[in-house]
Amino acid sequence: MSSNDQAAPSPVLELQGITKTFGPVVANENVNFDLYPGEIHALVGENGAGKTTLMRILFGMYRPNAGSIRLGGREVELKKPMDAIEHGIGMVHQHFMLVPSFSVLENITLGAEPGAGGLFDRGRAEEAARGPMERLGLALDPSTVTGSLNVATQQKLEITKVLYRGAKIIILDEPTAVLTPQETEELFVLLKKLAADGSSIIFISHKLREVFAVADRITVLRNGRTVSTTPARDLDASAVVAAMTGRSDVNLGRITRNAPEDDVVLSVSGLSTAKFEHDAALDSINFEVRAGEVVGIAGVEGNGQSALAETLIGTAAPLAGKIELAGTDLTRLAVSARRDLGLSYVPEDRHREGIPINGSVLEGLAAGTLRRHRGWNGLANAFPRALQAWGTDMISKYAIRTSGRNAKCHTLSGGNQQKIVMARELEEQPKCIVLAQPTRGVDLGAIEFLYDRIAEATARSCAVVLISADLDEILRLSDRVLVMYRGRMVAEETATETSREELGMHMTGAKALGTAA
Amino acid sequence: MDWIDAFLASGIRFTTPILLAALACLPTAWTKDLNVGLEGAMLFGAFSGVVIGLSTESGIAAVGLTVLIGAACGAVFGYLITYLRVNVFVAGIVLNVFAAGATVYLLRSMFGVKGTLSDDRIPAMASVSIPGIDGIPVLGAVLSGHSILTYVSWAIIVVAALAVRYTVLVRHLKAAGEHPAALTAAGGNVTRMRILAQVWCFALCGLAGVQLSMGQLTLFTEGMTSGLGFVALAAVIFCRGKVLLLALMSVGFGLSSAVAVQVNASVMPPQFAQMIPYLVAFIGLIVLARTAKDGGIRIATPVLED
Amino acid sequence: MNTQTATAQQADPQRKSHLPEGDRRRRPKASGRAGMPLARRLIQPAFILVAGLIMALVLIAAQGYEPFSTLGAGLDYALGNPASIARTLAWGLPLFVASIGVCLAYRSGMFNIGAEGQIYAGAMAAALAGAYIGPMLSGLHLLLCLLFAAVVGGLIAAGLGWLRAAWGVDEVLSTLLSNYIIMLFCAYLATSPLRDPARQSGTTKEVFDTAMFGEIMPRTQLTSALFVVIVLCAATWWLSERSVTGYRWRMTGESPDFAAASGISVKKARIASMATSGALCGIGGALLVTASQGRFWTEIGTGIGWDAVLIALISRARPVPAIIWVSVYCIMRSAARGIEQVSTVPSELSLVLISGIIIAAAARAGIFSQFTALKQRFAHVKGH
Repeated sequence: MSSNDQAAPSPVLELQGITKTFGPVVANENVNFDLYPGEIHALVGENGAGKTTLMRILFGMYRPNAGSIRLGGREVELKKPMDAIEHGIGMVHQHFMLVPSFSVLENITLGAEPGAGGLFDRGRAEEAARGPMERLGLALDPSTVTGSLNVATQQKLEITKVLYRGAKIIILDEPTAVLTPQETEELFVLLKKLAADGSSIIFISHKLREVFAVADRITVLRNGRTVSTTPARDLDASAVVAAMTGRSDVNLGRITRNAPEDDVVLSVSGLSTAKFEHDAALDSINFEVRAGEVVGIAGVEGNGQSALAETLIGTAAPLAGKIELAGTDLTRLAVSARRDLGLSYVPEDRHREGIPINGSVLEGLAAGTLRRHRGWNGLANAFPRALQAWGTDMISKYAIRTSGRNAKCHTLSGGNQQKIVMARELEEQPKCIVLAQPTRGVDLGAIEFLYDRIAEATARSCAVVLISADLDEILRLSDRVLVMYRGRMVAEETATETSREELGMHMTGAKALGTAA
Repeated sequence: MDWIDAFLASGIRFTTPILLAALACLPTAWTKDLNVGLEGAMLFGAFSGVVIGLSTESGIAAVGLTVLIGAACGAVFGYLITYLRVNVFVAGIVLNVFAAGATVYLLRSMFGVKGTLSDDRIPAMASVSIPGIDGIPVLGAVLSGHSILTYVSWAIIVVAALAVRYTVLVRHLKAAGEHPAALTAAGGNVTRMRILAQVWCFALCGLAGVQLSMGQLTLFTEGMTSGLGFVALAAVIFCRGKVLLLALMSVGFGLSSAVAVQVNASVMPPQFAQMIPYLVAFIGLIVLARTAKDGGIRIATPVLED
Repeated sequence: MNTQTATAQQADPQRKSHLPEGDRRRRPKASGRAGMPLARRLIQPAFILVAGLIMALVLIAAQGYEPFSTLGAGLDYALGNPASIARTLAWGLPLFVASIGVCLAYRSGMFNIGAEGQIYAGAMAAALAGAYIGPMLSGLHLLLCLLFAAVVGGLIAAGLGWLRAAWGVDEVLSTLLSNYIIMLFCAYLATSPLRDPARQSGTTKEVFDTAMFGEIMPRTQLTSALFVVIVLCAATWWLSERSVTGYRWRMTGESPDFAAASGISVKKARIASMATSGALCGIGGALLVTASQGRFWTEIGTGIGWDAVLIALISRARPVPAIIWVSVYCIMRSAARGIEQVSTVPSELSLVLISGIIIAAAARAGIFSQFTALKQRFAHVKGH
């Protein structure tokens, strides 16, 4: 708020010299942060910079090793979330803290249920929840099952919960990760309204565009330390990136690549599936990818992207349609057969599908080689000397930072884990690779490295299907962009001739009828 | 019609321990710490009931103390699986083996007997005859003439069903299992809920055990639970957290156990008759897996990584 | 341990994912075994040994005996001379095979709680092959018995594995229930159609001598089955820890989604590992008949299956720790029997002890972290 300098109101919150260590890992070191009434203060930094840890300290989930927390000028000790809640702090977590099987009302009141003698007073609960729900424009039947709501509504429900508890300080941890551009806009309007009503908001993000759209001040964290706290209007994106990464040469523009070739490598026609557990069913999908081409698949998550990725690699079976790789029909083949024919896959959930999270780096790297053993060869030694040496080579070739090939995968950072996946998949010299959310949770340095590897792959004629929720990523890498909405391809654009706004429109299905393929 | 009466009466008799054990286990299913050690906890309950009954010659003392001891053991078990981070599946399996060994060990070192402990001084649970209903065919067999713990188990069904609807506690138990982080963030105490569920589980398993050793007979035999705990576990898994469904399942298993006793050996070898409840559960499991939308149920098993 | 529980796919992510990125890295686990200092690797066994000893001493003292000399007598009975070591080992042979069998299934994420039933089925199969076929050349007859037992045990387990792999039938519950069904069925066979009329009900005909392993040490019951067990243990270790198949099974167990996405047939891995596991349990049952009892009877292996399950769980399904645990358990059993001879302490002491030790071992990490937390809190208080 620009009024800071005139009236000089005292901050509602001051964090001073916060240090938090987890064993040998220093998550926060001497971090300072303050918040004024009616202010939206953004906290930015890369994954692992210590944003979430800092906020968990503020919310009483962790206790700092050193430093003080002052609320309204008074030093407080927050030992558990309840303490923070009682001091008027509310947190909207990145992963929703909503019990899916509970009703809307039960979720709003969880932990502060009105009623006497351990009984739940439904009438009073409804009355108490009505005010906050109206403030957020949440017109819902309170007995609706929460799990059936869409993510944007669930997020509003999270904010309702916070208001129900009477919070004056609201922490939002990466709130836009699951929203469409339009929903994000709506959220920002809402946040500004709440701030105008006197709430103070801490907005955690690593998406610079959003930070500039909503924040009054920006604090940058890097490696657990505060780098700077500056009014947003005094900053530009490149300055923030430089502060976040500590480097001034990070490329945010389009990746230079060879032009695509003519021959079609991957051809998908009429592909339909049944409903997925967390995703829409595919509804007669058609598209082609040429050699050396990157086709971006954009869309709000849950509109069939995961279904598409899984059906392409073969961990899920289609109901109808055909998938062809360089003229060979893959539709009825098992995963291993598809991979043998030259299809590769970088799954979206790295921890579950990409690497053996409790296995070793070598076990993660060698999956491709070990797939080729047949019959009695299955009893052969899995990791002979040659394969171990190859593993060491890969670690240096892909600059994987690890203590060695036998290190457990979970000891690596997200970026290095993703390099294991990329090394394994690209070393198979695939004809076509399906990338699902390839840089999620990966730091900027590693992202650049991975983009270069993708560019290299296209240079040797690999066709790339890039499924991503990050529009910037899609616009930087793709030749063509396809947009998915409710399991259908609703639009096709040339990457260099379209814009975020246009894609955003397609993603909400606004133009679906007009351009349906 | 006598055989119908006899069948129903013995069906109810068999139902009671299964029902009590299943009701015991239910909250642990809510908190997603499904206790697979029901069998062991029941065996301890049966043993404790007989031992206390024998030394105090009072049925009430036997029941009361067994429940209290059960609750205390539940707290210890809860401490193990929360603060000491012992996997609940491992702990449950160990409990079963431990109970089988420890009851025999205690039986031999305390009473010097092997196999069965029976004594005239062991008090039997009072059985309640409801005047008026007693004489009515079918209805009398179902409603009257059972051990007092049978009526207690029915009361617990009602209490549990009401608690699910109206109490904050059950909401917190379920939240602790379904989304513990949400409960923590809302200021609830996940650990406390998880321990509480185990306390309840052990206390009620104690009751189920007492019903076995003092409600139907007045003796303790090595391994006298003979798989009843696992049948109750199956009931808990099949009911998906619903109290009334749980009661229904338990009655089903109880009746199928009764078949084993009522069927004459000339009709069917006794081993086949004894198999019935397990077969019913087995087939039920397959049917459930085939029909459930989310691919059936999975028991939480530990990750074996170091 | 909650966050490390492999539950249903739908419920688990939430327990896991509320940890921030940083949490995943701060697990204080050594990376790679080679890097682990020797002292730290010895903490666990030392802790277990001390905990077990204390429990044993307390339990003996509670019965009114001088703990050290009584325990000494027991250990002398178990390990005092070559003959007693052989006797101790002889009892454990079936348990070795069954335990590594259960381990094998656990490696691919299949919790085969049905070891007990598969052991019974194997014992019955071997008893039938031994009594109704032959007599013939001894080695051949034994091979036939073991093979028959392996096939029966393997088929049962493979069927249960198939139910899980194809239909998603929870294998924990299905194998659990299968125990009772199989044991009752075997009891039926032994009491009615296949009963030895010359003996009490519940036993089958005695097998031919050619279907019995010969003693390799007189009057110790230690038979040449020992060599079969050694070969099976070594082969299982290779299969599970070194081979490509073992890799596939391990990946299926640890990260089924990773396995599926990288082209491993999860279904095949699950069924094959269950089948192998059941076959080994069946052979364990066969050894009960062919290496000691000479016939099937209704309580031939009571509890061995559960012991195997327990040992597989506590050794985290690794064959080498499992073999060590079985050895420890054998010594405890034998020592408990020795103690029973010099005192009135019941030999079930071993069951009580092993349960206590296993809980102590499982709680060790928790106990240590509680201790550290306490220390930190104390330091915190002092700091203020």
